[in-house]
Amino acid sequence: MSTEQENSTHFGYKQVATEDKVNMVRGVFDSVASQYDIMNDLMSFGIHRIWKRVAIQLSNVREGEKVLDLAGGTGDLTILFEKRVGKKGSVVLADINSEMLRTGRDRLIDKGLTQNINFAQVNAECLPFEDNSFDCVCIAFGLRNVTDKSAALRSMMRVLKPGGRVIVLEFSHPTDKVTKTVYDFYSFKLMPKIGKFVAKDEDSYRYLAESIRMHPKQDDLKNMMEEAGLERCEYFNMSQGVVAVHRGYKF
Amino acid sequence: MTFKPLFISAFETALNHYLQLDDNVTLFLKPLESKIIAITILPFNETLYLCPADDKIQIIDYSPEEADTHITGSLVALGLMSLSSNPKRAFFSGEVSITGDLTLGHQFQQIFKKLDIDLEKHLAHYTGESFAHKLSQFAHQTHDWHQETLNGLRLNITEFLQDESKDLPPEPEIALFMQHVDQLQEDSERLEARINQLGNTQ
Repeated sequence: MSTEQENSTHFGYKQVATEDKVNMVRGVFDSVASQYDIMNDLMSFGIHRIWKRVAIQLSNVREGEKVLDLAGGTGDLTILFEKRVGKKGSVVLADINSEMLRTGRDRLIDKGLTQNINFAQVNAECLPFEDNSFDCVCIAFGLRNVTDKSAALRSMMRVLKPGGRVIVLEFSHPTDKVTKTVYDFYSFKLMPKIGKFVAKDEDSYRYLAESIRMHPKQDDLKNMMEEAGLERCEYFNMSQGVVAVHRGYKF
Repeated sequence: MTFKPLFISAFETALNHYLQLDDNVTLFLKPLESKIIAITILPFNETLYLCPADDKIQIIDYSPEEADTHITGSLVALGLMSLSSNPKRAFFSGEVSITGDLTLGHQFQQIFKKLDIDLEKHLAHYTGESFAHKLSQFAHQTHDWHQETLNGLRLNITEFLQDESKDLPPEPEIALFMQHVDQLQEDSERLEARINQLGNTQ
């Protein structure tokens, strides 16, 4: 592998310098932050709420536990996690993007959720938390934007307590041809147009479709989790594999 | 594949809504807080882990910690056990097996019995007090009448079968017989253990 290839990574279908990807992803999310929730509802026809509920259920979070919600953005999962951990537990809403984090923080404060929620602007590849400090680390629709996914998984594994679990909720690869054809048409042709019309940003939503295709397949991600040291790794396909929840335990 | 988490999520929501109907549910759940009750449903061999918290029961599909109590049985047997006035019968007949902390299992079963749900109060939120009261009175009267009629019918049939036609033995006789069977079973198990022990020492 040449040095140029080693120092480059994908940003959608484009190859970019590794150090530039973080800034480019930041640019995408700075641009969509204000319209993020409405776009999620529009583009997934509201199904993202079911995907998130399934992920929360699979996280097996109990009252009193400590949860890290990585790439938590506007705080959808943090709200659901907070309900499960109750007042005795706590949730850290973390995101690399300050704009998304600010939107999430304002939204949670507006809902009166302040007591047991903390906010942190972090890079998932090098989490600034102590070893063995969380019962569950969840990254929902965020891992595909991370430059070094293996480093992120290792970092998540490090901060997990023994018995804790990593939950990765992410767009994945359809399991049958019909879904794939429909999904490809929808995400490459329609989604950028909806993005252009509603969020006035076609490129960001084209990046979304491309980055999903560049994301590792279900089995590959499962292998990456095992390589990071997680055990009992498994995945659950939803909507014919359009989205998958991966779960791995640290023992 | 995602059916199970969706089912658990819906079941958990329904169960907690039901529990919330009793204002004093915390009182019953507090002693069970932070315990884990595993329930294995046969023949699917699916295990659910019930984790009572302060005012709700959380259900998870896997627990790295060992459960305090493990209840195994078919859906029908478990359902009947929770409805039955004498849940111990289900254990002794072998339809439901329970391992681990037996007291915890019993306490858990008792929760559903102790729940005192004031339907009239909850109905009043939607229909107004006067209508809710009338409806609840009517429901109580119908329930009482049914109970009385059923009770009368049961007593008549029992009397006919036990005293008049003499087709069935009376209850105390059965209890005594079952006691003897249990005694015999225990004795034979002791004997078996003793024989095994003798066999091992030789």
